[in-house]
Amino acid sequence: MKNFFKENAVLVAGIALPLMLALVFFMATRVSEGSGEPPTTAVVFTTGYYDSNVGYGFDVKDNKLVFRFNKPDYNSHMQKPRLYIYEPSKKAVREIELPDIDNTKKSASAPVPGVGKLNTLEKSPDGFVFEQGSSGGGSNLMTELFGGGSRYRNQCIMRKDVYRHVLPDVSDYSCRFIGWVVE
Amino acid sequence: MINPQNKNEALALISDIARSFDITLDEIGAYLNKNPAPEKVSKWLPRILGYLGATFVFGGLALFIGMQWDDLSSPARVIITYGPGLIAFILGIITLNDERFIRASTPLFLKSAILQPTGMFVYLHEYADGNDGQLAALLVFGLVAIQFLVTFCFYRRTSLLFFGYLFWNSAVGILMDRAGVSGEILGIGLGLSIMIVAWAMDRTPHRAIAPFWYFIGSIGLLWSIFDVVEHTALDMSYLAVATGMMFLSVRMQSRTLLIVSTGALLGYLGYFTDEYFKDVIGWPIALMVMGGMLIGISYWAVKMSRKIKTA
Repeated sequence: MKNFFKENAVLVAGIALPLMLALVFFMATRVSEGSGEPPTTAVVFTTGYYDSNVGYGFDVKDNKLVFRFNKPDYNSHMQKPRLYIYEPSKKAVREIELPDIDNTKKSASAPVPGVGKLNTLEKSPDGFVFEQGSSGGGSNLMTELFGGGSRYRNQCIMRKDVYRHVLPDVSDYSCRFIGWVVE
Repeated sequence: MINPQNKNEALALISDIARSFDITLDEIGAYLNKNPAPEKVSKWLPRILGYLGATFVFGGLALFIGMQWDDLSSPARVIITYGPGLIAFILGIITLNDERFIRASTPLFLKSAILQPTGMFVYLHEYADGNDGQLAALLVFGLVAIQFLVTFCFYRRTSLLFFGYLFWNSAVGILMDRAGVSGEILGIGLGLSIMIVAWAMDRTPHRAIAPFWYFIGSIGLLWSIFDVVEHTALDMSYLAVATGMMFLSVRMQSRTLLIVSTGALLGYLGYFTDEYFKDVIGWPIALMVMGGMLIGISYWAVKMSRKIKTA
């Protein structure tokens, strides 16, 4: 065995290099995660929503969340987005039922009950920002060929400096921030 | 060893003669192509028809499975995808033990390399909970890589090494991604690793697959380094990287590496003129400067290619 490593030192180095990199980054990530304080502010977010002026959407008016509908000029299939709240105290994501809205009118809106007061600042009171996972890392030929597609694309995360807090039970590439629950 | 008794002895004799008369591998290849063995010429048509026939059979099977897919139960879906893959793999190993059918092993391993992972993905889709597709890919590619590489340790067939290393890289790439390695570092690390392993392969009887891995490794490495330095103060350093790779190609005796590094250098010059000269002297002059540099580099590349040929 010793002779094999001696005779094939280059081959062994080539095979070990990516494994060593994986190990180093894994340990560095664990250390940075261990050193950070987890979030305490609940966040409301949505999936399947593409920030368009027409169709279904959300507005925050006077710290209250409003679900709205603007009828488009042409007939098109309008899919309702889904609304979620992540409560760090329960470490769980819960789906919020959207109010019924009359989509035959030109425009309609209804307040979303059970959400509380929202603030739409980029940073939460405890210093976190809400991100979709793909904004964390670059992709190139190697990640596309051998990276299995970036798993971060399907994650919703809360980030504070280098500390990343992945929201549990959510796997959607279209998650979008609505607001922080402040009361 | 004037009358070699087996393949290894014949190869040793050929390499002794080549060294004595300073004959290069390219010259031997060119001579063989100029005077092809008559037996080989008469065999090309049946071989092409054989491959074509096998493709039709494979395509027909895939179409049939596709048409029946919705009517199949979960076990049937797994059996119909994984089963032929496993059988092709076993048949491939059987052919390796019989000199008459040894050439059939590569198409059989190719079929197995497509169908076995497909069958495993179908199994996970039908029976496993969760929606972590990347974890599924890590498991599947890791298991298939082990299967092919362990078999390679026993049978030393180049096709087994090729598929095994392909799946190995897929599994390692996913492992790095899950460990939190950023896209650029992943590309540099994996690209460098593939190039080193290709260099090691190039010095074995499996050198036929080395150019492919040089190609993938060098493109991945140069692409990722460019991603790191693009639009930064360090972007000039890319010139040194691409030029260094051109010199390395001569040292490693790889034309593939030379072509990729020349392409990278030309691409970099396009980026560089666009970044720094477009608004200074005017785009047309910048294009003329770039054209002059392209001619210079292509002349240099041809000169280096000759060096590889004569080395």
